[in-house]
Amino acid sequence: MPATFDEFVADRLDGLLRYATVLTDDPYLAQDIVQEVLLRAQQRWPKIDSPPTYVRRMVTNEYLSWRRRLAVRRVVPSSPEVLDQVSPPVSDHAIEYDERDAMLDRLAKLPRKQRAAIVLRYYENYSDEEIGAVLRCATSTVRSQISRALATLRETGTASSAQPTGARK
Amino acid sequence: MTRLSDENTEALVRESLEHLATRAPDGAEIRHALDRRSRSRPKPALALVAAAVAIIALGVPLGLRAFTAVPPASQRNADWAVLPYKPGWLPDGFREASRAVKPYPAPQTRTWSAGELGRIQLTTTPLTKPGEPWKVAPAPNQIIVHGRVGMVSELDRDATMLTWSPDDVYVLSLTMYGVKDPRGIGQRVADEMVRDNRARVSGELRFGRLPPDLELSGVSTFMTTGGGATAVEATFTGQPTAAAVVTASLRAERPDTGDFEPVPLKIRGTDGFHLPKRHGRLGPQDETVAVPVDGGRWLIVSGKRDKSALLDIAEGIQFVPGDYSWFGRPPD
Repeated sequence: MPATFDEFVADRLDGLLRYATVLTDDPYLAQDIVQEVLLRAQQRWPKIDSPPTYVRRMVTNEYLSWRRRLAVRRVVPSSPEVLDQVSPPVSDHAIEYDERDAMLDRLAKLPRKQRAAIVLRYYENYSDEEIGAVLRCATSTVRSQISRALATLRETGTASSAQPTGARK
Repeated sequence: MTRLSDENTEALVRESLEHLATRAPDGAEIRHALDRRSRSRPKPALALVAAAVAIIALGVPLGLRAFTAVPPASQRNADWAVLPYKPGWLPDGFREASRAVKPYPAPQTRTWSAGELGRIQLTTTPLTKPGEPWKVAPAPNQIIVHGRVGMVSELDRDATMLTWSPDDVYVLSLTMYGVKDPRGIGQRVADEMVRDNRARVSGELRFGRLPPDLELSGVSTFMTTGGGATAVEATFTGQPTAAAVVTASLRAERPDTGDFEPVPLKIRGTDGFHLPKRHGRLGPQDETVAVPVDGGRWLIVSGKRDKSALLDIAEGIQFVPGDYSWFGRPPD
């Protein structure tokens, strides 16, 4: 485990930013959250027992509670039809990513707690118990959140709605 | 409504989240914020004034060194690095052709090509001591970019390079190959250069296992006639700017075998082949192992290591979602 705050930042910052970006779907908000969390952690560093767990939990909590800023900065995704009108012609390579784009759209619409559970499970590969510890809820609640999220994510919509678009990178 | 299978859903979720992670910002701003907070001793006003007096004439362009207090990017994560500047304007016809990044203190590179009209390459190199004066050539090779002195140098009859620092954090080099009126064009491109914290290099490969004396030293993404391609390089640990010792690439083209008959070799459970060090059509070629992978492309690992080391590296390579959506586009 890193002995100092500086070593922790050097070792973990990039991973925290990726985690926060996946969690928020917004690189700028992710940066704000991680910076806020680290500035707070820096002040009380000697009192923190397990920095990786503590900081990740703080990032997750910030995401779950950052209502005002989320409301202000929320980006409403455009429809595929609109994006196609304003985007350059797509390459074959971009078309390959249609399924992923559609999945990212469905992920963006999940309730925040369900999204956090999904990210911890499928991005961080956490167990139910570990997710429960981060989200401060029972493992049965974790399973329920993930189950409901997956049910939503399985719905791919009507076949005609999956239009190719090169707008999402 | 249609439904994905459980297995497909989970796989797609993982892939989507992994791709989303490639949009993460780099940590430079946060590091600066933390650094500012942790500084307990305020700088004397005189030092701040001295820092504001930035650019002084002198020196040789290729002698420019990148010196910076910007912490080195984690080499493991070099494929996430942000490319900090972009042209706000380029002549008509120039489309982006490649992006490459190396760990600190090496420069990051983007290129735009317009076929017979030439090629423009932008490199951004971090300064080690932001705010310190750096050295450029005296008139008549000076250029002024937003009040800052830079320099123009001719690399050869066909290439001209403009170098300046827009912010005392990075040195920018703009090289024009085969471009008509390179000084005039370069001046306008430099004048309209803008900060960009969005563009990044997201290749499709990551090293898994590397010999202990090697570490990641570069990631590049580019287009070939067969489509998007990624190359990752590794060099000696602690020498990030040293020449690549091993390169792994994912591309459509089968490796050049020259006059050698490939020796069959099982790689990642698939029939691939090994080639010794050789002279190919492109000149001297390092020892190579290669194997076709899903999608009809080739995973090629070559370098100054023996067959077993190259094979071990190839076995450990990880495939991740890449991003080539920027290819063929003019600047935003």
